[in-house]
Amino acid sequence: MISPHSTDGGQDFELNLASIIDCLTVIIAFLLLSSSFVSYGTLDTAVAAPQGQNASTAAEGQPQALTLSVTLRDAEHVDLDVSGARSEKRQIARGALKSELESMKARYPGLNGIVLTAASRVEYRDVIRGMDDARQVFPAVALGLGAGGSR
Amino acid sequence: MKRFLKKKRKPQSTEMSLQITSMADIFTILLVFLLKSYAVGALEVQPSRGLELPVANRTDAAEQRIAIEVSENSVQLDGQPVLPLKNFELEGATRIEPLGKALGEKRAALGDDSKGKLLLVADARVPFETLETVMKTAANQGFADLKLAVVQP
Repeated sequence: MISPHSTDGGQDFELNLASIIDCLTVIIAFLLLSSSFVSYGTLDTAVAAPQGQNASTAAEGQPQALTLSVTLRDAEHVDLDVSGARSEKRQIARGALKSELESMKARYPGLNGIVLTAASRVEYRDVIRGMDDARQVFPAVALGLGAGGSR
Repeated sequence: MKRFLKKKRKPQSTEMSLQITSMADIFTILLVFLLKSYAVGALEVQPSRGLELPVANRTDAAEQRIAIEVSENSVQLDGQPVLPLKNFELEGATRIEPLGKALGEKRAALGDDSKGKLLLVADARVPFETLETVMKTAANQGFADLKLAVVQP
């Protein structure tokens, strides 16, 4: 590994790098072959009851909790539906979802989570995109069943 | 003069030394980069060939769970096909019961360990209708706590 370079008793020596290069080549080849450069993650959610089933279950005299349902109608349109103590329904453009949710959170401080659902033909990628936007405003996003067709 | 020049000329050496110090430097940098990106994450997802996971920016802590995979041709439970699909959709005559039965068996086998937790690995092109059917079936078997597998950009 270490080979003396001078013969006059000096301390000059040369490191033999060839064997180190061999080791590095093998390790790099192994890492290149075995590593995956795709990073997977997960989104936490829960399955919410179909719309309408969990409504009006509050006891008499107690104010109903606010519920915000976000329904992806297609790639461009989203329905927002606030129910409970207050009521509000409107349709917005898909691109305005995040800003609308922010303004709703400011208007209704009691809102803590939302129920996200979609029409039958909406692709999963759009659902995840909507969920990704919604989670920036409301950390708790449940997936609602019942807006689309069911078997 | 000619003789003097002839005497001065040294014999040409055939030995050649490769300067590998810089190469060792490059390899070391490569090795550090690869070791840094060699992430052994807690979530080991092995999607089927051709499955395209959706992309999400904000993700949560990964956790290994019972996995349902929804791809173009089938619904798989922990790698075992339980339902056939055609172009991401359930065919008219396809019954959803085998999925419910398989989930029920898994739940019974794992007991309290499963705690109703499920990892959904679905293709980005799956229509919500298909997912809804799968999620309803899972919820009916007590699997209401979901984690959705996504790709981080």
